[in-house]
Amino acid sequence: MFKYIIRRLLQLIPVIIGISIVVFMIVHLAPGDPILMMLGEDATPEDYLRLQRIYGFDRPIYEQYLRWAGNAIQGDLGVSIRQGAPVSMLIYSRLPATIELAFVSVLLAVLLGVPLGVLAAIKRQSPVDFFSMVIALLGVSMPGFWVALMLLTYVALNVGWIPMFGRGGSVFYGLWQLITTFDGSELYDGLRYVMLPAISIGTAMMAIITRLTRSSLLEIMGKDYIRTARAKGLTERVVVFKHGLRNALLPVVTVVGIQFGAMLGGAVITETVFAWPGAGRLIVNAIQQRDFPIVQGGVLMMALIFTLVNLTVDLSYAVLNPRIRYD
Amino acid sequence: MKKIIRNRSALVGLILISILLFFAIFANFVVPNDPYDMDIWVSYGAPEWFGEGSKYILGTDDMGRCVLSRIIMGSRISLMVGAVATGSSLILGVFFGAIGAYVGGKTDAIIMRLMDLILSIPSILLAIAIVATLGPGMVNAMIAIAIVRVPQMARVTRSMVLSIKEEDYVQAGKALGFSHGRILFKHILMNCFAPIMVVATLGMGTAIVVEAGLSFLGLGAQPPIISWGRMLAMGREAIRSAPHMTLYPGLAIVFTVLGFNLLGDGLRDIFDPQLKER
Amino acid sequence: MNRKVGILVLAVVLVFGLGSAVSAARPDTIVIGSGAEAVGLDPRLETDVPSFERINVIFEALVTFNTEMELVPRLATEWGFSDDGMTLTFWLRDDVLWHDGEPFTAEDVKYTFDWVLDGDNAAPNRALYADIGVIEIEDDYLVHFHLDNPNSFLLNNIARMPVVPAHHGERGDFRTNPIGTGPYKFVNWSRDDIMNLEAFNDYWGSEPIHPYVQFRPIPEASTRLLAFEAGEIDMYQGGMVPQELPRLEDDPNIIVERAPGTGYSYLGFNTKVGPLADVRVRQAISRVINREAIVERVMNGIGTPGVSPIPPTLPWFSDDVFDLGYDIDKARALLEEAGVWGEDLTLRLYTNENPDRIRIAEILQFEAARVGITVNVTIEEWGAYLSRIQDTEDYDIFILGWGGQLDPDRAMYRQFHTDGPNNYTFFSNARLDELLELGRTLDPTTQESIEVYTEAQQIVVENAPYGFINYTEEVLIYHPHIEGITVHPYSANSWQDVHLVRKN
Repeated sequence: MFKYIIRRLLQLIPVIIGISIVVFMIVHLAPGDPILMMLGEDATPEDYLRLQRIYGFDRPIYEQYLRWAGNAIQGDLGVSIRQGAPVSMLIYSRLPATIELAFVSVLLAVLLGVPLGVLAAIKRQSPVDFFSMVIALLGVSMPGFWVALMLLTYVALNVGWIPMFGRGGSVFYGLWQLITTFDGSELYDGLRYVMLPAISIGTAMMAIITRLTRSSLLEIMGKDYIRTARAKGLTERVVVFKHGLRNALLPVVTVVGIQFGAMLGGAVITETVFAWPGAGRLIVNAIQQRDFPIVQGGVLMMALIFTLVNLTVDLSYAVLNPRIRYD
Repeated sequence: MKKIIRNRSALVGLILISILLFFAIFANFVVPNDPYDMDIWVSYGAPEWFGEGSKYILGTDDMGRCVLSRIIMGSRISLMVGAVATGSSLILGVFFGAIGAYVGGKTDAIIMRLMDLILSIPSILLAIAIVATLGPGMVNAMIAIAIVRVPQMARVTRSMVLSIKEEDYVQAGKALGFSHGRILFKHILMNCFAPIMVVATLGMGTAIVVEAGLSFLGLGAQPPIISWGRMLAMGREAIRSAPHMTLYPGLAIVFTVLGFNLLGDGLRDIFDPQLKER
Repeated sequence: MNRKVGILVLAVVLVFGLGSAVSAARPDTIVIGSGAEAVGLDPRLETDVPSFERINVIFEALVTFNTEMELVPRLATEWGFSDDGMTLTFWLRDDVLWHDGEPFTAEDVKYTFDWVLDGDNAAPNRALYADIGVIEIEDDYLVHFHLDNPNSFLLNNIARMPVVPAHHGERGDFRTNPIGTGPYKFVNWSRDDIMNLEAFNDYWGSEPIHPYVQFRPIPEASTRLLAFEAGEIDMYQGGMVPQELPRLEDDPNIIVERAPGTGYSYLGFNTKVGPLADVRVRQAISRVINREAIVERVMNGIGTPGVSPIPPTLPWFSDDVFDLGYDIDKARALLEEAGVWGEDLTLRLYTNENPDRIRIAEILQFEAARVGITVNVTIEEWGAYLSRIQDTEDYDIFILGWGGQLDPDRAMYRQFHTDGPNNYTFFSNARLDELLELGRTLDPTTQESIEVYTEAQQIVVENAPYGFINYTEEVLIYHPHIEGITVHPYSANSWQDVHLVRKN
């Protein structure tokens, strides 16, 4: 197990180096220039050269990369050109909101998707199967921003207690507060604010989970040991939930991990519509302003977290299915 | 074919896609109005479902163009984006996945690390970065969508090839001294065809939704090309006073993507041998 | 296990059930919506309007524009040019404190402008102040700006540069943790989410009525409006959804205030390339812009059709210029005259992802096709677009806008002078250069100044390096329980008097 973790971590190194080079090349090859973006309408060519020198963009590109990479290895992701703050701090300040949104969306998708998938699998080829699949698929068929705008216009505005934008409180801290002091106000606030963004992201994910649960469960139910269980005279419920579902959830866990990781930086559009202060918006704004250090550092951090999340997921297989061993 | 008709998902999916294809192919003949013709003075017109002289059944957009005609014309772009982007990612993904799995060893490791690399960058960010580099436009949007989706195709193909590689008939082919190319294409890939088609159909849907997202950010198709995503993006500000501008293109996307997904799901049920009997 | 989950679910449900409605923003806090987040809060370093919306609440300039666009005292009580126009003197207020309690003096004024003028500092707006030579402090509250060149519009630029404290200006985090003299002091800032300001009790002017001010950036225009209607923000200016305006104006529970703005949007023609080098072709394209329809329908009545580079609110504005109004027949005639009628004329048009500009591009594409011109539209992402226009000559037509055109020099010199830093159309006209240079040296209040710029406008409009599309209009919306705010034509200054706002 320990050896396996080490090997996976070692595999990570070339991927991370590759990402850093790819991202560096993309941001520097893209048309657009951070100095131009920063200069006002009144700047002169001298101003341009002056700022270019101050920020080191007059150096050859490989030299810029090596300098940046050298600092990054030591944990210094540089300073934002436009905001003047350390990149690591900017990213760190966005992580709570980002993780919270990702977490709640995944939770929502799992809570709805798994039961729907099980239902569809049990009632395979019946109208129940068909309609639960249609409901699930509707989620993946709707562009996220469209769902978001529809929710705002037709739900939030009419209901009244659902906020339109921003982030209220921390859901995690609120949960902790509820458990320790029985004070649910922070949790309530946090959930109210995260609800709509989470729904508009979670619907697409729900579809994937429903579909996967269904096909995975169907596959498992065809296996010999399920037949054996049936033959032993166990009730269908026990067979499905105790023997079937437990194994069927393995691929679902992988996908949940991938989705969770992908959402960390990938919820850009939803974040924009709901003015959610997440990491995706930070990075996309930085792309628009050609704030190279944020783009480089941000994408690198997201990729790192994504990979670590997936490693964790792979390890959690051992918990769900003790027969799997790592060596 | 019989199986498709018996499978409810596949049937409904097929019907939806056929309707779409019909409109896309005969768009020029079925549009009630010229989809490009502007009359700014009748902009944001509400739908007129019935009535004698109702010219714009689904209303007009921000520049007084017929929404229904634009949706019909836009089906071509959505289908094309979906097909081209999915097709390219399919070709690249199958190529890398199959080579990796068949050759194995270092080649496999390098290819899979490369796929990990693409996969670990959030796909919408990667797509935005690619479009920012190449410049906006439909072709570049399709390239971006294709690149982003290569790893998934590669992974599916790889796992299929890995399992088929060990089958008796492949080993027999090897023993008979067939060339690697012949074994890979004729014996292995032909047997992966069905599941890969399933993934491709599902990918069509995703590609169409991602194109809408890129258009939302202004990075998709350029005018005068009509794309549903751009229709949604341009109409979103008027979502309350002229909801028809976003509602109907949105529904068009939903039905199209739903169609491809239902078909893909249905095909999966039909093809997957493990699901055949229970 | 299942029971525990059940209890948790029950608890969540209970908590939800007990919840009240979204509290309209707290009564002691004024919540201001904004279309974009500020980049930073150091007046010396920022160039964007959203940053200055906030800066102008925390900081103050020597002089400022009121809602009538007149220059009024702020940190200076009086000012004046010497007779030769080469020295500008400011008499400063002697009762002003910085937020940390230190007194404000002439030292701070000198420090601010010296810092901006110092070539080693990264001040992007340096060119605005380049005519300032030496700043001389006579005493704590009297300061002279000795100019290298006469510049009668320099005051307008000084009004855009709030003063920063000399004793904090070198601090590394000044940009995100500023100290100013304004009515509200900076408390904290969670970027892309919320910026909190607190009343400065030792403010020299009238005491801030409400203890707190919040800025909330909401990038999506429709979300911003929904948040306003739901009462989550008290007011915002700019970025109004045109299609919703009639409904909002009819709503008795919403107050809409409008004022002509300080900018305009335009088509720029690259006068260097082939057919566009011919003034008749440029005039023809200008004539296919259906300005009235754009303003009336696309903008839903926000703004007015474009005429010249000077906004109609400035005294220098003249509509006694060459008529290039919408007329397809005349456009056709001009093209025939230029000898390009019937030829396959294809032009590349660039713009960025701003929805209004995209609409204008589509309309132009459609109308131009009616006179046989094919327009290929490319919508670029802002960064790429900006560097195309500023760095290259690789475009035929582009759509862009100018904001903050507060005087004729700023509205014309940069854009149309042969050596102007923003002459993206490569326009050159000897007589115009002469007029623009002369204009800078004249007293802006004289008839002579007006005559010079009237002639300059006539030259620009007739030669059509730009096709003027529409003048902007500022729209402020707020709830009836808000009192004491007026729409400001120059949106960077919208909230400078927010300390006088009362929320009932």
